[in-house]
Amino acid sequence: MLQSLALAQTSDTLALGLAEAIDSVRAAETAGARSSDITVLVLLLNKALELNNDARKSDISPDKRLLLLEQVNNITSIVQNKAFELINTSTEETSVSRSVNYAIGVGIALLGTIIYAISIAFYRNLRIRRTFQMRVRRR
Amino acid sequence: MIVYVSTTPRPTEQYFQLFVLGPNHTIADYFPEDNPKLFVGNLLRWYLGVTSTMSTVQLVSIRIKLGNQTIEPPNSTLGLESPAPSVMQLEKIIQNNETWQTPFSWSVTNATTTAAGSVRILSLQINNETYQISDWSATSGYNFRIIFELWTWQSDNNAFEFGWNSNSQHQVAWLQVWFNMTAGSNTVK
Repeated sequence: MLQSLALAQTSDTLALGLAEAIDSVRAAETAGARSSDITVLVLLLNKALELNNDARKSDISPDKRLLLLEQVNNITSIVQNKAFELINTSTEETSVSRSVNYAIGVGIALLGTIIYAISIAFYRNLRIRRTFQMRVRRR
Repeated sequence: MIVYVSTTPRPTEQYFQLFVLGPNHTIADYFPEDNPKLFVGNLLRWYLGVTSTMSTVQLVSIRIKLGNQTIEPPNSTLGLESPAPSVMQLEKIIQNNETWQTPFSWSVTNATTTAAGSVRILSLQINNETYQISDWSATSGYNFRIIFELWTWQSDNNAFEFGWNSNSQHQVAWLQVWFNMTAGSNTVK
């Protein structure tokens, strides 16, 4: 069986701005940004990726390539700015939401303690009454 | 504890799924009349897809490689890519729990038979773009294969890597479809 090398037409590289934009979207996601907000950013990133791939093609003119890369940079800048906004907003929302959750937790714990204390007090009173009644019966 | 459980996201298994579907979006009918013998110009309409449950946005790349019987396929145990040369790649950024499906229409547009009886594929057309292949052949045209590898963008290394890392383990996903090739166009079907 014969074999030899074929032309490799793939690339491991990615425009720097695009790589950074992906990282910033991931950071926004980790910070707790809403899925709908992330979807918008992913759509923009895919557009940038498409343009970046067009710019890689060998049959386009240098001017056209520059234009495409400029568009990629513009889109990735928009994505990065929006992602940073989302990080800030989401971090605030997450800490507020966490504080509310912990406050509710503390409230539930307090309520539980009060109910427990009342129950114990009621139980003790009942026990005393029963003990007293038992003694009366014995007499 | 209840608050902790309600505010902490449940850990999920992180993985990708790679799939190839036939013209009816099913795992069938990859070849006309289920015959993997192709002629120059036979257009095959398949669909490639990737599903991600990686929790975060991922840039994925499906690399298409053309191999024959002797070339090594990807090594799942060692996580190594196939040494077969890449013809092209399809890239997409996908979200968690998203499935990306893309058309993959391809045909061999030029092939010759050598004096030794091997069939040599000279060019492929994939999604209306032509890719030149230099000297890729198989004895009597038997056992060519088209290999699909899933690569992911690794921010740490600033590069695409074959497979992905999940729970400190490197995992890979790849597929291959075998076909036989006859130089010349299909005159008898």
